[in-house]
Amino acid sequence: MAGPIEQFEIVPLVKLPLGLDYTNSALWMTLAVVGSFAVMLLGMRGAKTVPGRFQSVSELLYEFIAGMVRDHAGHKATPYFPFVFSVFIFVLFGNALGMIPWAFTFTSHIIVTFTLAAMVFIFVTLLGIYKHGLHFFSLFLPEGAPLALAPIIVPIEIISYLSRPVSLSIRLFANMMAGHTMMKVFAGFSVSLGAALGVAGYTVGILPIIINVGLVGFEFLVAFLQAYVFTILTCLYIRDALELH
Amino acid sequence: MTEHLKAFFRPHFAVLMVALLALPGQAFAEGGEEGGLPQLNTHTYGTQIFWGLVLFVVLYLLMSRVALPRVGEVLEERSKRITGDLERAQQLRAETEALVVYYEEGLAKARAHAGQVISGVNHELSAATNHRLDEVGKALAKKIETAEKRIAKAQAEAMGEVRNVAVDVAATVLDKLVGISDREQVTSAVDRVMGERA
Amino acid sequence: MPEEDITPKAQGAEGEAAQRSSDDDLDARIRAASAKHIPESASKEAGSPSSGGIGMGFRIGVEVVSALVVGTLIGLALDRWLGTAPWFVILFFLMGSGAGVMNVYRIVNGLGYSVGLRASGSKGDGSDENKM
Repeated sequence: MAGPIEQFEIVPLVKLPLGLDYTNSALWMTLAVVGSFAVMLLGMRGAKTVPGRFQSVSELLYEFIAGMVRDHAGHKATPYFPFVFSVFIFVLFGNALGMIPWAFTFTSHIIVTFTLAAMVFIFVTLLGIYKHGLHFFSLFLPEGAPLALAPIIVPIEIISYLSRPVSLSIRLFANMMAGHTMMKVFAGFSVSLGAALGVAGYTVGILPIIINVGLVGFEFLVAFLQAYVFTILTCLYIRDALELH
Repeated sequence: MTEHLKAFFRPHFAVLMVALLALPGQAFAEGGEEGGLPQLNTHTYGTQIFWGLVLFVVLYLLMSRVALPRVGEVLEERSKRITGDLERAQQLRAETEALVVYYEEGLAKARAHAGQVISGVNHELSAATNHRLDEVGKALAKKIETAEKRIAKAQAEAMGEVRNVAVDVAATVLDKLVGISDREQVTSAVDRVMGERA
Repeated sequence: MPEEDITPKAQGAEGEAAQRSSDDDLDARIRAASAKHIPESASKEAGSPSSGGIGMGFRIGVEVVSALVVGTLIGLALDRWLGTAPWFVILFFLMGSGAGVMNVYRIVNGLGYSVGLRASGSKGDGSDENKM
């Protein structure tokens, strides 16, 4: 019986030099890329003005993120729509594919979520500097604050700014990991109850299974919501960088 | 949305705390090697960062170059079409409205005209009636006048006759009774008496 | 005057009313369709800052922990670089707490996730930034 943690194990599939092995994590990332691209393209094959079922899905995703960018990042953010969309679809597919039994959830790894968050963070910071030049750094000294307090406020604001990718990645990783651990724990309950108590145990073991069914549905919601939250924060950061206050 | 979002974190919170508090210690105790929390095994970080970035860039290129423009095109086309349809509907409606206004104007005009015609006819009719009444009245008055004249004449004639008879009677009576036959005197006497009576 | 006596007029008025009502209906439908087609700058989801106990707690926890982690890491790095053993860690741990408090302050006041103390409502609308 595998422990609840074993599902997060990284297994190299193809050994590569420099420690850059192609692992199960990379495999599921590849599947996310291929899967999302397939969903977006399948719908659009022979695209019609009146959408078919698959086409509706890709259009729905497109409009959902386009609306999010428009509402939360502002009209000036339209050029960055593909970036935001890629972030969303990558996280969403990472979360959702992890719901398949025996699948690997790469978003449950802090280093992956941190890489994504750091990428967003660097992108947004560069965007702000590109748009506003050195004036971008006025971000760290809020207007109206007394200059005498600058030596305290500036480091605090810098730390606050730097904590963005950390909180962003922790939130996603923690939710995904917690959810999957919990499902595994409840599934493990059924098995161990069965093993320990025999027939009676199997009967009682039904209970955790029922709970698990509910959890799976719940996890799908969390998978979507976390992708949504990750993306909406990306949008808000982009807006901050574009509309320096 | 927020409400739901928050409610959904409840069970996670507890598990997360357990995970964050208990597992890292275990992982660190085993030096990040096999057996600890796989997320904290730093040996896997290089490959995960590398593949994460590479595959994200691939995804970004696929999305921004191929998939999204295609979806955007379709959506744009539909949007254009819907906007066009709506505009056409709006335009047709405006045309309808103009027609309705035109029709109403025509109706009002026709109504006013009808009113005028009717009142004109009424005037004519009443004028003709008055005229005719006048004529009839005049004719009647003339007839009454001649009739009155005739009556007066007849009366005068009748009075003359009465006078003559009275003179004859008086003369005869005088002649028979008294033997006076002065016709002149009798006539004047009768005239006097009749004048008194009248 | 005679105008009032004409019967077709009454019928005409009735027909007109019917026509007008269907006309207004059409107008309303066209407008509704237009509104649906061109969404008015999105439906703002209402999110009150004070709502959601544990969800909010989790969020605040993450924000504080993140700020503390960043602060402490900077302190550690500086200490290792300058050899000033515990001092920078202590200083930046405190700074990290400050940053954590700032993060929480911004969340609670609905100022979104932006760095910088900005006055409530000075820009945009804080309402949409209160998401988890």
